[in-house]
Amino acid sequence: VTGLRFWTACIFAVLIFALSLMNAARPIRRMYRLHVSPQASTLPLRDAELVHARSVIGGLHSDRLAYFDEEPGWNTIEAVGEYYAVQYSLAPIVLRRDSKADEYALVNFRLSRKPMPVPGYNLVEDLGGGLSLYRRR
Amino acid sequence: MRLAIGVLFSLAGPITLGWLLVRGLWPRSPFGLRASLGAGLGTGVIGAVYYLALLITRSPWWSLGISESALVAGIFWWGRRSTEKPSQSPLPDTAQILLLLLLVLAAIWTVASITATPHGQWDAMAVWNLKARFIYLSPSDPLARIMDPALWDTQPDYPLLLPSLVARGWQYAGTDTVVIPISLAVLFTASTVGIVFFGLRMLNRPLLSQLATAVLLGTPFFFRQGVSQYADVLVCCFVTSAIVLYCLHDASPDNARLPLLAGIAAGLAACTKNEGLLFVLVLAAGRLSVLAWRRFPSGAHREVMNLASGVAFGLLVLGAFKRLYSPPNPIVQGITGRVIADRIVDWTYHARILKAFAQKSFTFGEWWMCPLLLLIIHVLAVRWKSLAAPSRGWTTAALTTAGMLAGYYSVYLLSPYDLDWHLGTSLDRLLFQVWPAALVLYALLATEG
Repeated sequence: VTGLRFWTACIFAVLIFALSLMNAARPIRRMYRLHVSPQASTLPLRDAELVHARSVIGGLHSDRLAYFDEEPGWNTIEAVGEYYAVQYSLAPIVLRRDSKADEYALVNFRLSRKPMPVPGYNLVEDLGGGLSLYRRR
Repeated sequence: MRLAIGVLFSLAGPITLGWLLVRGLWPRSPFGLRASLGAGLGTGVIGAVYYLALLITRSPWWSLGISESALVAGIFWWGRRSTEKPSQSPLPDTAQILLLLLLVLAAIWTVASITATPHGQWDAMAVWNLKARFIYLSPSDPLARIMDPALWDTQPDYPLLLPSLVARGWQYAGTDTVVIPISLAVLFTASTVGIVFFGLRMLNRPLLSQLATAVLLGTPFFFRQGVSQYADVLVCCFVTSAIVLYCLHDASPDNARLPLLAGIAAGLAACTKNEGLLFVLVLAAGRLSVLAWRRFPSGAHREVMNLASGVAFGLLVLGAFKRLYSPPNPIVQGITGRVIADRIVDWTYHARILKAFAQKSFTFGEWWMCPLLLLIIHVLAVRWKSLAAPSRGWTTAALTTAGMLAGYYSVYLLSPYDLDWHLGTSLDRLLFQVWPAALVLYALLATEG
């Protein structure tokens, strides 16, 4: 019985180690042999692009800004994702989507990349990266 | 230069405190386990102190001052305690080279994952690091900004332990560098692996500690998710710590302070994510069931008191946050008598959840081949004669792991969200949280006697 136990333990140890090695090696093999990288970042990070925007908005002395997307409705993952990327880059300013209560508004022309007139607002500055700053009339 | 020194100091202090805390409460703890437990618990405790100070003062600089004062006081206090040398359990003589090879492969994969996603995954940017930036960068009252209704979909009811730790690290580094969240992610991931390996070795299961650790190291998703800069890896580390500590307590009940350490870990899990609160409830219920099954042996009262004392600090911080700041949880808010009555008898709903659990259990690890079946066969082969008379060591691990899975199942059943979306965006992370604990359970079950 002791011999049987020993061999059972040995067989399972070999199988588990072999399987673990195959599992651990798989992504690395895919990476180097098949050139499949780890799931690359899809985050639309805007930190570097929004350095100027950060300094201009920081100078407004306003904790909160209205935020509009060029494509109204927040129906696409791109619009929502871009909001979070800009919010992350401009923190600690709070960007309030579609807010009517704030004096300044940030409009993201992420598709056309050029500022357009916004009803009820005057353009203050094109901040680059598709973002434009507006002030309520 | 300041960055490197800042990162080093932000981590070294809490790790030292954790080491001393584990040594003070458990003088005979072996070196590796003391280091692994200490890294996670010490960092968590300092993060929780910072978090509590932030709730009270609403200032990151006051919070830093208070947390670092507590750190220095803690190191001084616990440093004066027992100086007993850590015990060294003999190194297991089999398969060490294979384990080392697995460790190298896991490290390569971890570095590749970090390189591919240095800013972590989506929720790292939209939830965890965003809140850390509010704490670190706000000129006044970061909590008012975090709780702004405009940010309603950044999970404002989630506790702020991880953002507190990241903000604290940024204060040390002097800039909001990604190195801090990456370092924390690596710390908690490595700590979890160490707890599984050294914990099982401490339980006199050298070969099984190697096998369980091998399976963990051979789970690519564990490392990719670990460094995604989400809070799940913290929950995973604290859950694993508490379960391993209770297994050790069951193996040698003479050390009454292990439940205190387990309680600290469980309390920290509650401070990290809402699933952590579920873990506290499941752990408490599991232990009470075990004690009731054993007809409340002598020392049961003391064990319960120690567990409660350990959990108390984490629950205090969480309670202050929930009471003073947090909006209601949308899932809990959506649970009504009508929803419960409707969903419990909706068999298609049950079937969809069970199907997702079954499918994900075999695929979440991003394996070449899922090891689950092999582990189950191993357990059955070893225990087929004695399954009806289990040894006492594994009951807490089994009850808490099963309890957590049952809790997740109930949340999906009563969730107000679209079920497919909810399962698709969270189930793999929830299974990740309990995967090391499940491997500990496997190692305990696959041991005869």
